[in-house]
Amino acid sequence: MPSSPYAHGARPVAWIMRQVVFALVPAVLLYVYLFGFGVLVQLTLGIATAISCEAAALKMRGLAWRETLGDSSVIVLACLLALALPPYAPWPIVVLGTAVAVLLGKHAFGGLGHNVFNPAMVGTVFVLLCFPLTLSEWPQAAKLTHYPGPLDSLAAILWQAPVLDGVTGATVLDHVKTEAALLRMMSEIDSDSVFGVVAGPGWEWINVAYLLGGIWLLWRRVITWRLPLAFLTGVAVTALAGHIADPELHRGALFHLFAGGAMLAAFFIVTDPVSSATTPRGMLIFGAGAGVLTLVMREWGTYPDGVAFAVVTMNAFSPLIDRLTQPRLYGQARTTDDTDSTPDR
Amino acid sequence: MAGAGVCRAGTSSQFARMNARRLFTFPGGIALAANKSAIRDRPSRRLPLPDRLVLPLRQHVGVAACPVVRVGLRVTRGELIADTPGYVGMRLHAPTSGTITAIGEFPVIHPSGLPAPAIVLTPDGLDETAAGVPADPAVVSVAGIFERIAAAGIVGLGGAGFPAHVKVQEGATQHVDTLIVNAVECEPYICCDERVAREAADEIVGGAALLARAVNARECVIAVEDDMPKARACLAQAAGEAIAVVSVPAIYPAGGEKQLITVLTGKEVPSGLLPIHVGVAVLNVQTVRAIYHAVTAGEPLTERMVTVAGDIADAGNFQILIGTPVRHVLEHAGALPLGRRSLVSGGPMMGTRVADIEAPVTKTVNCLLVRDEVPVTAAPLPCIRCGDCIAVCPVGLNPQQLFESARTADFDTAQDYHLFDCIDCGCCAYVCPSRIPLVQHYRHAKSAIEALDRDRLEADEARANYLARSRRLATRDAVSTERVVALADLDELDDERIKRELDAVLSRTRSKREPDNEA
Repeated sequence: MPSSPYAHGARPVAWIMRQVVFALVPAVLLYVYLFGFGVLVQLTLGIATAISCEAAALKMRGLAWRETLGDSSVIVLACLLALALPPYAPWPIVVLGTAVAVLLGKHAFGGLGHNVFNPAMVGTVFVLLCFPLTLSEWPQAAKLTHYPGPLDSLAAILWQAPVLDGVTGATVLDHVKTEAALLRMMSEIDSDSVFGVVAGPGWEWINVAYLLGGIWLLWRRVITWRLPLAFLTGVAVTALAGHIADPELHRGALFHLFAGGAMLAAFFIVTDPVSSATTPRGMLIFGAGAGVLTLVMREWGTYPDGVAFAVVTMNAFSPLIDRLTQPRLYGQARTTDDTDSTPDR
Repeated sequence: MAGAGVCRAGTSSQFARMNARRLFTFPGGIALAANKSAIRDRPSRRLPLPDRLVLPLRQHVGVAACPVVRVGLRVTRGELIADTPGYVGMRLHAPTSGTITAIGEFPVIHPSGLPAPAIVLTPDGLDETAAGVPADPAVVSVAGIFERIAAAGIVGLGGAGFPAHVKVQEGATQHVDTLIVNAVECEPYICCDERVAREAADEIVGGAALLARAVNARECVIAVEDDMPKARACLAQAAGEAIAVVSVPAIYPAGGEKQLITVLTGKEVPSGLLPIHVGVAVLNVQTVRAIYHAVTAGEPLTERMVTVAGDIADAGNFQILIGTPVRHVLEHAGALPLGRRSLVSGGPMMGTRVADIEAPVTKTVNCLLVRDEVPVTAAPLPCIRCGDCIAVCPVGLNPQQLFESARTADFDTAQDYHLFDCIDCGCCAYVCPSRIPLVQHYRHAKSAIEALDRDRLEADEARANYLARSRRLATRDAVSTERVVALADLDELDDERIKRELDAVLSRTRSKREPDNEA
């Protein structure tokens, strides 16, 4: 016989996951508007792979696949991974990345709730390491002369049809990194035709779309403010520190906030409950750490963007952060909470 | 007394000065839908006498009461039928006149569903009483107050069932800054305390004044929730200037003893200690009313107000005799047959499922809740570490971490994560998106640890007994050898020496006694 409480007020996991998918809609629509139908093909491939892998893994583990698949968490995973890939990357990349994310990132650790690392980022890191060059080839929104429709997109992704020849290239993050490596000053790079209002054309609007989706999630109370705000603060403060130290070597905070996957990470990736820190203070540390690391990797790493690496690195510290930031127990003196409330083991 | 003297105070601006008091917050908590509007404004009712009253010997924290009656004996209302064998215990009185028809094991409301010892009284319908000895509340001595509370068998009527005389006497021996009368019913549906506050505000205020005098409290506060303005107005009208009536925000579990202390005083009760250690005593509003009756009229506690609520025809608050079978109550509230509806004693957050409707209403039952509940069939999903439980825990625990250690029976880690500070409020399970029955896991871990500790204690005692016995056996020979030596010495003593020794002993004794005589 179950004991109290006999009342329940939570939104089920499946509902939460659906809200996250809804919050991605503005960004997906913008992808379609800017880059054509490629992203929809990637999303379809990713979701199909994720569901198949999840079902296979659950079957192999002898679990009831209907109940656990029903929570939609793999769909969120597949969406996040697909959005991190260039819209016309060849199909094996999204399939491989998603399979690695679900099988290695999630089920090898014990499935829902037990994965140490954010599965979507595990998959992203895997394909970034395997296909660095392909994944740096993003369509240049401004240069698209022929808008890729559904059939063009399918052909491009499945058979590498040359629909986009000459219109792909480096993202603004990539461009800035490459040019800075050639010892060009930021003031010189400013005049290159890779900038929009604050960051890359198109890209900055996609980041705005993620921001809007994120605000909606906050408003719906699907996520709390701590992780996103800490992450964005980490990014902004680190960027600003570099920019103030030498504006010719480092770009400013607005650029970094609206370039690459900053907003996607802030509202959809660091907010993954399973692999992030969970205590209130731990969330602040985790978010800020991921933000700072993202910038460190953008500035000094090999890859143009550092979001995936930063998040996976911070994931490894989540248990430690949680342990060191246990909430203050009621009735415990406020001055000693750091030492006293921390369990011994 | 039910329904008598219903207060008609409005919620006018004359009470606007209230809540000038600075309030504090406790961590976590949830704003729950109150579900009280259907019944809170209905006057309370009294039930007709049931066919029989079942009076469990244990309705409280502490040792069970011992029957002082035998089967066949006729008793009158208020007569003692079971006495307490220890200090932390409770006396039990006949709620009406009748005959003791059985003493044995009967179904009770308990999570285990097991029967417990009880006395069965069959009412004769005459309701004869040996009148209690009234006392003037203004002049009754503090010792008299204690005596009358203990004699009346009063326990905490808020649900915990801690013997009231122990709490009050602790308050008297230690310093009490704030005496809190708790009318904060934070659980949904329950509004019996609110009804009592509206129907018997004078008695509550009278009881509070008596208690404040008994424990020599610096201040006395009656706390209500901010969604019960009428109760607040009634209490404030009765209270005058000496006692403050304060509304606290309706955040569950604001009515929890420790949470209420924090809200009203900003103090926190350290882990494992009692409110009195921070100079606070908290008593439920019905307990205070019972104390008022006990002191001023010499009436023992034999009835209480109970909310009967939920998806039933005739919900409301009822003044119910202790020992009334739940079936009798449900019958008069139009709740029978139950069918597929669930029955819980207490609120939806912390209540206990009632397995057998023949079980009686005891001193700690504040609500009978009947609901069309959709049973949850799906197994809980794994914890996704969302941290919602951390955000709502009013004690500052990390419920998800605690769950992991409780689930894996890692009891040492569970205790490191402060398992025993958990107050079972259910906030964590309420918000869990994976629908994990967290509180159930904690309760299981707590009882498992307690069982282990009991075993360890018994083993320690057995070991100590064995060691003591071995020591006795080992020293017995030595002792007898010594005695032989002593006897041998005695032989050698002369009479002179014995006389001298005796004189010395006598004079020592005399000198010790003398100061006593003078005093």
